Amino acid sequence: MVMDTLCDEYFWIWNLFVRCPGSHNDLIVMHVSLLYLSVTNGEWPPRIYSFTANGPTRTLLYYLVDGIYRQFAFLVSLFPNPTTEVELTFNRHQDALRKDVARCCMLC
Amino acid sequence: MDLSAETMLEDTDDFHVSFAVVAHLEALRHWRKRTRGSRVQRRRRYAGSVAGRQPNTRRNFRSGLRASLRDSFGVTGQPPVYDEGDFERRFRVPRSVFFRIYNTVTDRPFLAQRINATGRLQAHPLQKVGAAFRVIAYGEATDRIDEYVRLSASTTAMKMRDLMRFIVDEFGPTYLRSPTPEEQQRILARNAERGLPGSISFLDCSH
Repeated sequence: MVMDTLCDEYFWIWNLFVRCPGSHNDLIVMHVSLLYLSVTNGEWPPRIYSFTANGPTRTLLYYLVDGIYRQFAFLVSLFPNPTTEVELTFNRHQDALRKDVARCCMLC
Repeated sequence: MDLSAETMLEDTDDFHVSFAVVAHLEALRHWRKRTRGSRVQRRRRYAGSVAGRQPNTRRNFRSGLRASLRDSFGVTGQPPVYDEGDFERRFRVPRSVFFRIYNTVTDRPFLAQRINATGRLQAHPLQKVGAAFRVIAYGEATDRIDEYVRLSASTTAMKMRDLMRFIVDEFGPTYLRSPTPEEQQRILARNAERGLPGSISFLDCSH
């Protein structure tokens, strides 16, 4: 079963995309999922929220993913080879938050 | 006024109409050809029991229901043979979720217990729901269910399809939706608290 999941801290699954085993690989499953289409069409996420990181204020909210996804503006993945203290800290925080969805996948 | 296709085609004044009619006729012809050639048309309709054909297998639905009740749900005051952990492993959902879906679906016409032409009671909804859940949970063949709850492979496949459609229609709009503004605010605030402001949620894909 190929499964594309989007969930939050309380295991509420906001988006689920299920297909037959072996029919989609990691890249294709992203490109055919409705989530990707809605983001590229500008329907989701809403641009009314803003946050400030490293100075500039941004309105494009993002999803946390692991390293296998492509580099899109709405996906924030890990640094592949962290060396500096900043990168290591970021990776640690990102991993800690992303553990929620990993737990959710284990439950399913 | 004559509105037939020939008249409209002869009418040289209004090219738009004639083009539209030609295109429409072409589309109709194409559509009819496709329908005739498609698999849907050639596939035999499911007919169930037919007089004069091979008789049905003597399945004894009640023994299947009894086995299912005894193993997983408890019958005649006895507790079920398998405990909560086994139930959750085999059906992939806890008992509460299973019964929530079962209670919603049990009165629907596609799953209700029927009486066939010979006056015999057919399979109980619990059998059908249980069979569908086991097929989904393990991804196992529908034929495998036959030995356990005494449902034919075609019945299990049909009921599974119906049940899954029903679940998606019934529970999809409630649970599989976009977050409301309040929920969105809460998630954003919580994630900012945890160190990554602006992250909505987490995306992962598994195989």
